[in-house]
Amino acid sequence: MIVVCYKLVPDVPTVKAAPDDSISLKDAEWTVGEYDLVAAEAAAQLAAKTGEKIIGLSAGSAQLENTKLRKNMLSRGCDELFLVQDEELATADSNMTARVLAAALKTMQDVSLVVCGEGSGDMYFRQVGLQVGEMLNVPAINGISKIKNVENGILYAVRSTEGTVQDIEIPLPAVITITADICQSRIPRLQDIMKAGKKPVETHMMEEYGEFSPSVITVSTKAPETTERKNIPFTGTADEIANAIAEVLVKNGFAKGGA
Amino acid sequence: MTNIWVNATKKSILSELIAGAASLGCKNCDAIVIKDADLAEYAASLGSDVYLLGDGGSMAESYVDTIFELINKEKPEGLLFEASVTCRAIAGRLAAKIGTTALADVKHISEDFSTRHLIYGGGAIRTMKSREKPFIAIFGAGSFNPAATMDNGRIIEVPFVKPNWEIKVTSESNKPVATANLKSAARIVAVGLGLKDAADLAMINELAGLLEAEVGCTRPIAEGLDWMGREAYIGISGQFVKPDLYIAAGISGQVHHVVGMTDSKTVISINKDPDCAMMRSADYCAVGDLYEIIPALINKLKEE
Repeated sequence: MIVVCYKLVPDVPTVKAAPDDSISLKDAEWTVGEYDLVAAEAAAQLAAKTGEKIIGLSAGSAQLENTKLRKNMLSRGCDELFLVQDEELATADSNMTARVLAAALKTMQDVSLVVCGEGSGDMYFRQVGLQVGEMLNVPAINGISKIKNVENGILYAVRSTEGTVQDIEIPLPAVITITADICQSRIPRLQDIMKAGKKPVETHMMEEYGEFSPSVITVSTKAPETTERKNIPFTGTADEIANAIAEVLVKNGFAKGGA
Repeated sequence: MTNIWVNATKKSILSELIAGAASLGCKNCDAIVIKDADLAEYAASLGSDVYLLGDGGSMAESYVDTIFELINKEKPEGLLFEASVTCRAIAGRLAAKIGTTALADVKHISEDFSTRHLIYGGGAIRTMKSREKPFIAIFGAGSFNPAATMDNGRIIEVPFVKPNWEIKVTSESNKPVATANLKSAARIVAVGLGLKDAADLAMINELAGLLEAEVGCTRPIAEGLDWMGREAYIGISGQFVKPDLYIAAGISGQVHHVVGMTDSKTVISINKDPDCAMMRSADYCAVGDLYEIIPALINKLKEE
């Protein structure tokens, strides 16, 4: 069985700053993290070879009850969902999120591989998958840019770092986090969406797994400072605009002055 | 005295982190260096005592247990890591062992070790502080000024601690060196989905050539369309740049992208849509078709 971890995140353009610079998620629209959709596809491609079942696992707030968001995963190759809910999970830190995911994973049988996206769509710390693996005391590795095959309990994969490409052999079970460009997430077909509504969803509350508290103190969440810009419009014909740009480039020393 | 450790794979960043530790009140921080004797010498020349972790592991990530044993023995206040795939893996797994969150991609760290990060694709800035010791923080290039040379630190050899499991590296090759060095570029011409075809990059390259600029792009151009390499992608999950000149050609200006270029000095946006978000983040807003304006601009620059 392959598990794909995913996170429901506020869609960035719908996260609004109030006049006092505080951040509100009140009117935010929620979505599945885009890197997680890529992870789902990578898992689906592997499962097509190994014939394994795929479980989508998420720890989050009541947004997990949203049927459309459930179908988002179930129409993209997941056979079942396993959801752990608590309001605190909406903004939980990497360590706390990983502890909850690891606790849920410990209750599952025959997990061969856990696939995580490159990073979450909201925090993008790129840490949770690594922590989950460590907590389960199984291999955990990031930067997987190609999943080749599984043979005799070994996952053969390619890992990409800033400067190198490595062929690696990962003993299973393991947790991997993939790169955002490992593959493209699929656009579900109508029949996939229809079927998604009938697939099983197992729901749990976080408290069933014990007590979880944050590993960090969040001091503040504010709107970022913005840089003041001049916003000077250049309109007219292409030539007129090009002249105006060239003038700016010359004036600021980016191009040589001419006639 | 405050005891802070640093770990990096690149000399330049190791030097910055050593200076960063000093700015937090740790004048002679300790450096963790994995197998690399040359890097260890370098760290020592910057005044750091170096724990040089000995041979045995297949990859740097195999040394998590070795480092964790050292942490338990020496009890540092905090660990500063380079923002690289390898260091991120080590930092994350150590954080799990410590019971904390590795504070990733720190924009600023205060003397009380609270850190600031961009979240929500750059839409918010969050200040956080670890409840556990040591804290772990991850920094990109340019976070601190490089450290000055000091009296040589000591090099302490530490034997490899065999972990329960190990990932085997069967082959490793270097990626072709990226031609663009966006992080330190003084001038950048960046393209977005306003570009209709990969072949049209020739026009963008020509403009960049005339301005002695590097070429960058938004995420879809690098991931999905694959018209440019991933190292050319500017934005929250790509490069953060701060050139003197930034020309955004056919970029709508989603917050994910803008956060990566917001420190640019002069910004020129070329876009058909006068109301697109990129215009709000630009000093000069050229409203029109980039396929007409850029060739005209190239001609103009050639004349001059």
